[in-house]
Amino acid sequence: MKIEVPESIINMWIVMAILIAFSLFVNVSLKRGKFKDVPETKLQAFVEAFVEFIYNVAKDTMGERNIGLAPYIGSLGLLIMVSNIMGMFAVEKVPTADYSVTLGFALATFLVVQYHQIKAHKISGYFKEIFEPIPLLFPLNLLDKFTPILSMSLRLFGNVTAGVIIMGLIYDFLRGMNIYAMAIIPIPFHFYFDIFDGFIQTLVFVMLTMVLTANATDVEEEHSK
Amino acid sequence: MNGEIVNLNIKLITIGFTLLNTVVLFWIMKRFLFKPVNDFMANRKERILADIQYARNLNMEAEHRLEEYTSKLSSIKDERNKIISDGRIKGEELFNRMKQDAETERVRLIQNAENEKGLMMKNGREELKREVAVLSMGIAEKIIKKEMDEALHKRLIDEAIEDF
Repeated sequence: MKIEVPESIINMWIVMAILIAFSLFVNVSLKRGKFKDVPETKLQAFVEAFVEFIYNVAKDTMGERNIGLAPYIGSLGLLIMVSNIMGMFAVEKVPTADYSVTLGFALATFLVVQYHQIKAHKISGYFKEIFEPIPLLFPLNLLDKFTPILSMSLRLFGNVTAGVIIMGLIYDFLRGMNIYAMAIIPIPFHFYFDIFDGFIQTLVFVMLTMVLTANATDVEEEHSK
Repeated sequence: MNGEIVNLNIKLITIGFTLLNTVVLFWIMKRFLFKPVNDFMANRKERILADIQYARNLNMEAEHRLEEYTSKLSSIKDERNKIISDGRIKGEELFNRMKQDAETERVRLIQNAENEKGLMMKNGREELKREVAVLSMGIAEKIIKKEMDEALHKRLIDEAIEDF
C-alpha cells in the first residue's frame, strides 16, 4: 500500500528538521562546554532566554505541578511559529494553512489536557466532573470538552489562511509591475501577516493549551490555597 | 487562490502525521534542547546559590573572627597596660631595694672603714708606744750607762720588781 504524504506534512518535516538540527547543535555546544556560566555567545544568550521564558510562562500559567509540560509548550510553539512564517520563504503550502494540520495540533493539545486531567483527578474524578454540578449539564460539559479542538484549530487555520490569501492577492495585484515593486511592496505585509500575526496566533494557541491544562488540573484552586 | 494553497479538507493521514510529528518533535526537543539547557541553568543557579551561601558563611566567619580579634586586642591592651603598670611598680620596688641595699652597703663600708681606722689608730698608738718605749729604753740605757752605779741599778731593779 502506497502512502501519499501530503505536501503540508513534507513542509512540516522541513520545519522539524530545522528545529531538530538546531536542538542537536545546541546540545553538542552544551556538551562541548561552549555554554559558560556567564553567556559569551549570542546562541547561548538566546537559547537560555527562550528556555527560561518558556519555563517561566509554563510555571506561571500552569503551576509547578505541570512544569513538565514546558518542553511540549516550547516545541509546539516553535513548530507552529516556524510553520506560520514559512510563507515568507516562497513555500506554497504553509503547514498551518492546512486544516488537518491545525486540527492535529488541537487534537494533540486535547489529548495532553485530558491526560493531565486524568492524572490529576484520577479516572473516577475525571468522569465525575462531567456530571457536575448537576447531571443535567452532562451534554454541555461534554461539549465544553470538545469545543476547544474546534475553536483552536479553526482560529489558527483561519488566521494563517487569511494571511496566505491576502499575500496571494497582493502578489496577484503586483504581477506585471516591475521587479523592484514586487520585491519591496510585499515586505511590510509579510512582516504583518507572517511574523506578527504568526507570532500572535502561536502565542494564542500555546496560551490556550496552558490555560486549558491549568483549568483541567485545578491550578487556580492551588494558587488560591 | 484555490484549494491547493488553502486546504479545508480533513485528511486523517495529515492529522495522524501531525500528531506523530508533534510527539516526535516534543520528545527530541525535550531530550536535546529543553531538558539539557534547563538542567544547565538549574545547576548554575544551584552552584551560584551555594557560592553565595559559602560567601555568606565566610563573611559571617570573618565577622566573628574580627569580633574575636577585636576583643582579644582590647584584652591585649588591658594586659599591656597591666604589664607596664606592674613593670613600673616592680621597677620602683627594685630601685628602692637597690637604693636601700646601697645605703646599707654604704653604712657598712663606712662602719668598716671607721673600725679599720680605729684599729689602725690603736695599732699605731701601740706601735708608737712601743717605739717610744724602745727609744726611752735606749736613751735611758745611755743615761743610765753614764750616771748609774751598781747600787742605783739594784735599787731600780727592785723598785721595778715591786711595781710589777
